Amino acid sequence: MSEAPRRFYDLQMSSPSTSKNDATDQNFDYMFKLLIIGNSAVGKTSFLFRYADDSFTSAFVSTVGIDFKVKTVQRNNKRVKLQIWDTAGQERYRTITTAYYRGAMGFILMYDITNEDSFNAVQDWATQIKTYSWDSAQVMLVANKADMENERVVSTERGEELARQLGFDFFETSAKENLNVSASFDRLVDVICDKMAESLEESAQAASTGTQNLHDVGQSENKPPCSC
Amino acid sequence: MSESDIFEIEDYTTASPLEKFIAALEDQIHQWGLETRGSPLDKNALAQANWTKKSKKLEFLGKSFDLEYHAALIDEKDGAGFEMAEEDLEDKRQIPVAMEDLLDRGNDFMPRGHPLALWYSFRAFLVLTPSETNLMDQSEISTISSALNLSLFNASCELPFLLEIKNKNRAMFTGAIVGGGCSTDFDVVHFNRKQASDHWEISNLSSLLHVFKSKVRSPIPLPVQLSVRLTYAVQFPFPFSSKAVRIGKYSTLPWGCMISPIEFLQLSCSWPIVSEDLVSDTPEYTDLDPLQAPQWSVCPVYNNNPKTSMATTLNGYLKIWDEAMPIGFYLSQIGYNPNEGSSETSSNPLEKIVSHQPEVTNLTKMTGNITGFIDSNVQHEERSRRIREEIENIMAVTFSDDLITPSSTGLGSTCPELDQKMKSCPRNSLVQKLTLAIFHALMVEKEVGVRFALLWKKFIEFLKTHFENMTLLPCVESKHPQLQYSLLQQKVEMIQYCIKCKLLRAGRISSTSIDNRKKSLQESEKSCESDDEFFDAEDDSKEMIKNEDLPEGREKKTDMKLLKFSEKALYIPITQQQPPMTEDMIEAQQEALMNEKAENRILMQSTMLSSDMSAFKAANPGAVFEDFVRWHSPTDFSTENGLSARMTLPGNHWVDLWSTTKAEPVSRQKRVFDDTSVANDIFTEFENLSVDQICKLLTPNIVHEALVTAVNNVSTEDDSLLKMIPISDTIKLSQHDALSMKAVENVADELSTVETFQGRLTWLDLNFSESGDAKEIIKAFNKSFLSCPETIIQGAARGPIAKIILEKINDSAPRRVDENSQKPPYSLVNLSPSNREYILRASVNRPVPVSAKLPQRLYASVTPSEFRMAGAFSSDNTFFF
Repeated sequence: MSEAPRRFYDLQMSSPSTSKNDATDQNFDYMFKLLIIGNSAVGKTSFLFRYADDSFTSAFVSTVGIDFKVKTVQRNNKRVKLQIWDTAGQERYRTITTAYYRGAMGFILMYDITNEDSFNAVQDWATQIKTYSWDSAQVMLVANKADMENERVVSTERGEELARQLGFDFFETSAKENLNVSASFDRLVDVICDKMAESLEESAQAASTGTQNLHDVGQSENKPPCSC
Repeated sequence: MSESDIFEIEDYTTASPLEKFIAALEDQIHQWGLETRGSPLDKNALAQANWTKKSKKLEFLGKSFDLEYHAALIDEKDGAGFEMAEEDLEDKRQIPVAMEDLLDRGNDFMPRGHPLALWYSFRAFLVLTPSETNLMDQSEISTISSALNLSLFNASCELPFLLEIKNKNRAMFTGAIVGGGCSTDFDVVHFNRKQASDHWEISNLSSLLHVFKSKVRSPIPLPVQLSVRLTYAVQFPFPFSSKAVRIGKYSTLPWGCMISPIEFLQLSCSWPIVSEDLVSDTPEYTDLDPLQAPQWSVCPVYNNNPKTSMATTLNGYLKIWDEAMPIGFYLSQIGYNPNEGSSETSSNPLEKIVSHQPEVTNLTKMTGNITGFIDSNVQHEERSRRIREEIENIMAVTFSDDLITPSSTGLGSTCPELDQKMKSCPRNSLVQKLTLAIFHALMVEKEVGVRFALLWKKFIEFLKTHFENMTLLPCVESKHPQLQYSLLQQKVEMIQYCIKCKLLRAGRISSTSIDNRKKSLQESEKSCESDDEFFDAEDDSKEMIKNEDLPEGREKKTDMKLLKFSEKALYIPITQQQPPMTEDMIEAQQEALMNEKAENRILMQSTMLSSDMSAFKAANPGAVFEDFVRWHSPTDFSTENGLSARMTLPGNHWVDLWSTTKAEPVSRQKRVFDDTSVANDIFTEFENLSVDQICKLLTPNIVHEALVTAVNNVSTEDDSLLKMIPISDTIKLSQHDALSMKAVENVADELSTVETFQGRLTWLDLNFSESGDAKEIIKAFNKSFLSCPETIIQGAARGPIAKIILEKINDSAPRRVDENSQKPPYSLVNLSPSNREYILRASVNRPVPVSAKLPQRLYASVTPSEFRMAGAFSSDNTFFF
């Protein structure tokens, strides 16, 4: 077994280096692995291209397996490198995509407001997240294709209600009209940062209670757990 | 101009070292802002309080000193202290609190703390200790003492201030309290038993009274008040120590203290207050019969290192982890060729170890000692054989299918939180069995590395043999690697998957593939029967004309019809399974994708798509791309609009791939998943791991097992011990694959604490069992014994607790041959005291009758090895100097 491969959840400081390619750019303070999931053809790839490249094409080739894009953003004077994995929505690719859930810090769970089936599948996707991802992973429920109001079959209220039930944040977006795309990513990054700060605090507390224990056993006249 | 002239000029502006030292002391006293007032103490307040300590390094005359401040943290009763102080002011001269404390009987004979606090019942004090040297020179001592007095006076600090003098190990001090126009001088006298043989006669009360009175010199108005305590060390048995290591042979893991967590019970028989005229204590005769003492109290004396077995085992594991040797290093020590076994295919991996003889060449290398060669060779061979046998036994037992692990017995054993969330291995899995075996290899104190290496090697052989013989591994339930488990578990699951593939393939040659074909044929026949005659006929005729159009590899018929042949049903083909991946494979794939351009990323992942297309074509002769999309990506086709926009893009990868794939059923396709190479990769990897890498793989499972053992062993009555087991933190670490050496070390430390506490509870339960008439009294005693510094025994020598203690003394002490001979003074049954302590107190107008009445005190302690007196004698400086 070679040296342990670099983990994506490692919040690592890397030495700055000059690189033309965003994917191999090592100049960042934190790296977050994010995943976009949802039924086939809800617009995951378009959404990602809009966010990462600020471009929109009405049709992208259907994703085979998984693909990714990288974008670096600033948060509290820190460079956060987002490694965003785009997944194929087809049932046939379910095994390969769920393998990538572990280690993801955030999810964009997407449905298409013009497609009832894609909305009905949200519950299943949420279950998949619960099964395969870390407990601490954060999820945004994103209702895409908001520009196609004429063909809408899923109302905003239903989307909001479902998000509330699942405990996710909710955005209606349009990759085509660049509506709320950045906003939903920004929000996801923010909640991950909050969660991270929280767990840092926790572990600091755990560390201090840990020392307390060690201190106790170090003394021969230590107080046992029961009170006097 | 001479040098002395210059010196004289500068002398006016330069403070002398002594002045600087005094200023530094004074400064420090100010900086710490020391509180010197306080209200009278509650009984035993000092013993129960937590103590705080501040310290500072100082320099004087080229020597460095540690100035320390010790104080008991006592909750001040609101305002009461100040009121009292004011009353005092009116009533009499206000003397420093520390001086008053000298006469306080409520805090005598503290069971623990700084010796000065024990001798003088100080609530707070300053002590100056030379850091490296001993202060032997009398003039130096005097200089520093006067510096102390001056700094106290300048700072108006009324705390006791002591200076450590003479040899450190003798704990000698001198010092004073200065305040309220009075001062108290402290003096300590110390004799070792050797030195003291001449002075031993003074180690009784009558002599001490003599010393006290002659030291005070002024007439003592009232009888001297005495407090006396005789202390005994009572040994209690701890018979389960050996049982704690091995209960059952291999099904129970190490837990508990290997030696008694309580070294002895310290029994103190006290006379809290006796007047000097009521007690006689001379070298010839004593009234001090411990059985008659009005107060009995006990405290546990804990063993600093009770050798907690789980923590010891984990530390042994950490040690070999840290050494990070290659497996071969250990295997060669027992003449075990690391390369052997890979080519052999013995049906029973255990046989190989038994039949294998050590190679002499290896041994010569090992011993490297020509003269002792013959002897060491024999010994070595013997040792190797022993270890091999032992490991063989461990494996035979732990890997047998019927090993009942603690959790499978269901005796309140499992910790659901751990078993569900810990990223390790399922209960009763093969990996758990390996973990148990590793634990048993670790439980011996010597040659842990050799045992560990051999076990690992044999585990690989076990896996390999199963793979080669196409026997399913026992106790591996998952169908494919489950990412919620540890990497080791995933890899074992992967091997199991490979074995299954191999079985399937082997089966397919003889029956399965034919069956499959038969099945699809039967299906088509069935469909023929159900469908109309025309369809049937055409199908038959087609088969006869073009054999390659015979549909192959059909899995299931759908309701859809082919677009070009509306009479033909669309069949879902039998497809290759998505190859399962362990998390390191996923990471490698991820890494590989990240280093490729977008086009290549698609190509890299097209194998499955292309295989699906081939299979689809084979199952649906005459099908077009649209048919495939309808099955594979239904949202990309609608009957009204045909293919979606994205499926018709020029240069579309899907279309390209469709045009180049041939119709081929899965049975004739190249396997996407190569079980042989995947399994061999794992075997090769396993064989080349060094011990630290193996440890990384094993750790989550090892820690899981250690925590489960802890949960199973702590007392269920009280969940405080359960709470001390670091369960949720460890689960979190395991889920992030962050169980480092440091993390395991922390777990070991915390478990050691739990084991120690549990050991103490067990000790208590064993020796003071809560039963019989005195159940309630014993219960109350047990509640206090481990948590309070000292526990007063109800009924002293006549109570039920004393009865238990006296029985233990009777059982353990050797019986005196002559029952009638008089027992030696101070002895309790047959036990001599480990310490005799006396405190003599009086309030005396000193140094002259018109002086204020001030506290005088002498503490003495007599142990078998030393005799110590610590005096505090106060005098009024106001009218007499």
